Amino acid sequence: MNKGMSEIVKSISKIVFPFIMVFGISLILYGHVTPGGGFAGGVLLTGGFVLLLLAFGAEHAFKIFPRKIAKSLDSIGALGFLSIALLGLLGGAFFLNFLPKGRLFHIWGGGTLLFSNIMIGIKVGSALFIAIATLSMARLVHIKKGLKYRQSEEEK
Amino acid sequence: MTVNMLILVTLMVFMAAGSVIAIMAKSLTSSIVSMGTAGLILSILFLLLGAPDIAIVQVFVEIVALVVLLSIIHRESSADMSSSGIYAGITLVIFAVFLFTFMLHFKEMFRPFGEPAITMGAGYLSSSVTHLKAANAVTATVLDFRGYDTLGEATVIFTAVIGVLVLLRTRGRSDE
Repeated sequence: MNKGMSEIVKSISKIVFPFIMVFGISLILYGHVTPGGGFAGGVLLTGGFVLLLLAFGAEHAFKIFPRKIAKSLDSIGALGFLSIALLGLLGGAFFLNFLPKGRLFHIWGGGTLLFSNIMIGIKVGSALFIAIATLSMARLVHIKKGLKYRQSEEEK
Repeated sequence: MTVNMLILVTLMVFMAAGSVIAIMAKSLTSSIVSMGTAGLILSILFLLLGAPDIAIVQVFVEIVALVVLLSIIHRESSADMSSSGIYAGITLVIFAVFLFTFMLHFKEMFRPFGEPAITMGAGYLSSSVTHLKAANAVTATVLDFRGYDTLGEATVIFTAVIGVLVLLRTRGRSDE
């Protein structure tokens, strides 16, 4: 296993990765109580996966967060947020906050905000991870006539 | 018809003219430049109608699009990018007239400094706690009061990722 960075970076990122994940998830879940929210938490989750990608190489990162799952999570997040908006139509209007509002300074407060935050977090986290991973693996290879593009996964 | 309305109508006419020229123009360079004119006037309209954030985004997008399209055209076809002095002079005169009108009617077009044009923020701030029971007013605004904006942003990210995946795909390319 010579892929990725040195052993020091690998050990440190192995230790740090769970903490980044937990912090990102807590940012998403408490987005309507404390500073943060779905977008910030999702970007933080992406940062954790990108750390893995940099330290261990793309293969290991895709073993932990497979590309297919990331793609479907992207769509699930977008459709989920849209369906929360559409469920408001049951109460009478698009984007109506139809759930009971709950208590202030509590996770069950703010009605649909918690679920919207979760959907946005899932969406942003997986979408940015796919984009960064795909862009980082883009390679130009020389062929007879100029340059040709291919993904580095195929290199043998 | 007030001065403000007159300025709005004039700008809209210029924008429509720019769009029509962008479609009808023979050379690609002039078409792109007139498209940029339409976008720039749209951003001025946003500013006059009290949406400064969207105006800034619009200016940014227009400049980036203009630079990218012009550089692509410059690379593809060796078009002549130099201009004669007459057009520069006409442009300067038009800009001077616009700037002078703006300076004359500055006070009627904008509120005095310190009084924001958008007064909805206070309502958002108070009702995020009283009605919505959400302590974080930013999240309450982004996800509830202005949920349409967030839906649009989610669509933008979704489209961007699809664009990356399509542009950088390996299967089904024609140059295989």
